Amino acid sequence: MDANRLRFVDALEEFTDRELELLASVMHVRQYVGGEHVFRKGDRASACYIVLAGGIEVIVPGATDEGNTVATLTAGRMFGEIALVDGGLRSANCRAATGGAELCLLGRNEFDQIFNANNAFAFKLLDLIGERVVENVRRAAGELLSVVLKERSQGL
Amino acid sequence: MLPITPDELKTCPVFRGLSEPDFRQLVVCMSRRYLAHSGMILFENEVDSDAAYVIQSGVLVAEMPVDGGVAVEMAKMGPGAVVGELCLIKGGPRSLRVKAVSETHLIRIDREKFADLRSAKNAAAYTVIRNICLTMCDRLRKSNEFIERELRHETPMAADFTSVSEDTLADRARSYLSKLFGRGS
Repeated sequence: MDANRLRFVDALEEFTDRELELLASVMHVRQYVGGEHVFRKGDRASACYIVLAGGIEVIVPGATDEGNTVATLTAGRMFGEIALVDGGLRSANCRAATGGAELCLLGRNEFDQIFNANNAFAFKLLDLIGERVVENVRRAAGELLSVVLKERSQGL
Repeated sequence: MLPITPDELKTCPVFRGLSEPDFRQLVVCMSRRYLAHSGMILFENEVDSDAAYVIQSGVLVAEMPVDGGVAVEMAKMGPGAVVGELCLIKGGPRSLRVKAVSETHLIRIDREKFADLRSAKNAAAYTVIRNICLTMCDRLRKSNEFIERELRHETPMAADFTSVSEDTLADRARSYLSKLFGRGS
């Protein structure tokens, strides 16, 4: 893919032109029509993604077939990297929004090669993923804390 | 003060995969910290994170202070646990107060010195970052599953709590919070 398409991605703003070219050389672009699933909850992670255009709905399956849309990701957002890091399963469904989506994919093999290499590029990717992990952990901790404190304030 | 040796840290998951030369590079970030008795504060909530800690002996408690009331205990941490390791990846305010329950010996890992190693692209420092990411991703998934199913959909995860069915939602949230930070059973 063309490295220029990665230049507007906020998460990659610290990457040099050379690093973006390196990343682009192992990424692939794919189009999704509206409603098409990128992955489903329980799938083994095979790639992480950056939204190039359109939108991606993050849906947690629930009691209804429609599930619960918890987020809509727009151009520049990275997603799907958490399950790729530890080889786990997807925790939610992701599907293209009504107008479709264009994504670039970093596959598992390429991700593992970069992630496990001890070089400056791998370290930069680790910085990026590490910050995403911390943000997610702090968000989850905040939600759990609020439940405990709410129950306490209600005197339960 | 006694020098810190690799043997003191080699069983800690954050340091797995590191060789003795790797440890020698990391030890420049480390110092000893001692809390002599119960009630001594390691750090307050809402202050900027400046270090992570490895508990060598003793017990710490993480709690949320409550204005005009008794603090809410969230988790207890014993030997081998790592406290505040996220700040080695990204700074930010502490979410909880942590204090000693008993006499406690700790190894302190200075955030700024560790950041200097990262800036120098030190491979040992990045092994630590990678270990933290791997550990946290697994715990995060479990917490997220609980949050999505119980907090957003109010569908109890009975299988996880068959033996403690009397637990309230807050008890279960506290359990996941404890696991999220690596201190739960």
